[in-house]
Amino acid sequence: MDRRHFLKITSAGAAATAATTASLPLFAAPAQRSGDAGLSDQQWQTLDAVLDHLFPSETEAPGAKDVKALHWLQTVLLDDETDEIHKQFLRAGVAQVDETSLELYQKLFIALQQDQREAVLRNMEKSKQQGRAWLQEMIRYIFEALLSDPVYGGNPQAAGWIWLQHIPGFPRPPKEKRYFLL
Amino acid sequence: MSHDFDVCVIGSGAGGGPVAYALAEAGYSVVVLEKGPWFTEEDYYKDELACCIRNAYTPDLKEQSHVVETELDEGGWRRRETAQDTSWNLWNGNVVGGSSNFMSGFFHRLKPVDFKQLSTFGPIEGANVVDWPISYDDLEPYYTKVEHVVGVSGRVVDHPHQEPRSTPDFPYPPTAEHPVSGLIDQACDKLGVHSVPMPRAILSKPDLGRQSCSYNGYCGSYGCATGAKGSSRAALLNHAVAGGRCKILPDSHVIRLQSDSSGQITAVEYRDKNDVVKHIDAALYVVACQAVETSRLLLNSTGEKHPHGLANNSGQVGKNLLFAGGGAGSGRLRYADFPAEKRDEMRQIGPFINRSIYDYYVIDDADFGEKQKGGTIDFVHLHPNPVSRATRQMRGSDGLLWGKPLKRRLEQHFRESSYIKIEAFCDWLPVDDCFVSLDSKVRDKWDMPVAKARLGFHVRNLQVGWYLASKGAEVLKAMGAENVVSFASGSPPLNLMAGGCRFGDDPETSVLNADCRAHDVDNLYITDGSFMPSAGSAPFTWTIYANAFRVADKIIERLGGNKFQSLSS
Repeated sequence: MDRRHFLKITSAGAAATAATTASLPLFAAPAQRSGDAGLSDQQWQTLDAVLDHLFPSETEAPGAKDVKALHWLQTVLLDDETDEIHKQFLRAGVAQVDETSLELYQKLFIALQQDQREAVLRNMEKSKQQGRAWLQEMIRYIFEALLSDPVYGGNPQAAGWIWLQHIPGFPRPPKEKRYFLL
Repeated sequence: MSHDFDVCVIGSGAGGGPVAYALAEAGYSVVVLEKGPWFTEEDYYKDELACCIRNAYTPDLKEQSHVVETELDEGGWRRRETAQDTSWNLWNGNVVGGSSNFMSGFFHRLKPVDFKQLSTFGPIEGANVVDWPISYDDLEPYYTKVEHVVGVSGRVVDHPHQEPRSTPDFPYPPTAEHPVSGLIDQACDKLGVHSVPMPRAILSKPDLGRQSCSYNGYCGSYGCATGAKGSSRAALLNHAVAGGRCKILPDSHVIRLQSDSSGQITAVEYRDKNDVVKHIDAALYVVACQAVETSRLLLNSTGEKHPHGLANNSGQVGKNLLFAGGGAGSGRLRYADFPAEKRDEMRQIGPFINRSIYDYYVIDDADFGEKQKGGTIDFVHLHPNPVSRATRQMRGSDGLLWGKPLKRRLEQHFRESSYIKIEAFCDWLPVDDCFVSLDSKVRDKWDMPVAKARLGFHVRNLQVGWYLASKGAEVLKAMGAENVVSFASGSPPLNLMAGGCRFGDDPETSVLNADCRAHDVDNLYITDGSFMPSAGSAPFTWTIYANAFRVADKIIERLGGNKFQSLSS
């Protein structure tokens, strides 16, 4: 698929789903965090859907949405401390999800059925350059949001710890002693 | 001749702390330069992001990195720059107190045989095995001193490999034990091996101006929030500073040691926290930056008499770099296999396992070959870090796990079982292909060459590591553990490094003399693990502490003795 065709479908898809664009309230971000996360509204929706697929919500077990994994990634992408090469890698993976969706089903990822989404991500894992590494990193970031101290904005009300019966250590970090303030 | 200080110590970890403590206590003025910040108990929290994921206690690898070279199966060396390949991070804790803040405090003395390996077992082809220039008896009083000053808890039991002691038992009783300890004891009884309580550098009761352990289960890799862990900072530097004769300069990165036409050090050049270049001079200088950085600092410190780096006129600086060799393994104990009333006990996190086996410290097993040095087997809990544990669960048999199957696996892993780890330690034999040099391309943010570590290893490390790990696995199986695995690897544990400036009697083959003074720089001592010509078969922090106290006594003697004792006598 050439780039022009891709852009055309992308913008059509974005327009079609504009009404459901997820709102993305920012964290109360510390001062050193600034700039642009570098993803379009449509790409945020793709990423949201990927995270939901990788770690779905269930009645008895929190999923990516419940632990604010999307916001976690937003923080990583806005963090001046995050290596620029790593940020590019994270963004490129989001783009690759939709490229693969278009290649296999001629639709954006968010327009796909569950089994098609699974096929797209498996295709990335098995066949795409850096696909597996990107998926691993997405799952790892979901785990950070699931199991890090709630003071960082994920793991709300310790939902991840409670689910897995994990006993955290003490003393736990207060807000003013988060690692980037030390 | 007047100096800014009597002694200037570079590096504040397990090698620098005892020198600062002992010299200040003896009445001498000491300055300690530490490149990292000065955190206290008020800054250490059980925060996995801080310690272990975002690496808040080590330099930014984009600014200060290393180069490592690992051996390729087909021959040759694979070069990795750690700024890009961050999994090979050689920094271990650049804060006041160094990496001793983040140790687990598994404390083992070396045994008499470690001091005379060459004369006991003979040479090993491809390894630079030597006897030490001192004996166990020379170091024993200082192991005992560490028990009392740093605070070591434990319990002496009778077993065939117990090293000689000048005191009957530890000054502090063992830390609280997990029910798994009893299961290991029973399994070892069944197998006819000796399960020995492992000493810990952790206070089991409040003393020495510090609190007792709080048993929260997050010890290794984390800074201690109570002061119970015997870090160089909590146990030594805090006291040294309180005495008024020790000054610590945090955020002070030493660039080079300057030397004059006689070859002596004249000043330390460092950058302070505002990046301003400053100098300090002292009568004597002590370097203790941890093995890789100690060698790098010397190699970067060229001078008229030291064209190839300070104390390097025989080309020995950086050679015979050591790590802890060994193997590892694990097994799973399912809570459901225990009676209902025992399950809550098994689920506890906090109390320690603290069990070691020394029966194979010397391996005398015809099936394994000639009688030879073996090592120590430790049993510990799987580290509780939840993100790291979860991350290891995503690998399935046919690709990555995600979705509900991944969630079910996490539930099983976290909720249903306790995991016991085997950590087996053997000698990392000194070899020509394990050394530190200066990299010709990569420089740090101050434009100084970074250290390059070539990480070759001797195949004997693997053989002994496998042997020990499989002996540990037998114990786990005898306990009824499931999924028992054991293995060894040639990859070094980057947090356990030594060597590079070995001590010895011959200036042609060693950097330091028996007092850990440089052969060709009269006012330079090195007191971190760099001095070790062989690594022993256990984690070596206790040995670094003990030797640094020993060298401190040599320095005090050289400066004229303890000022307070001479006043009173």
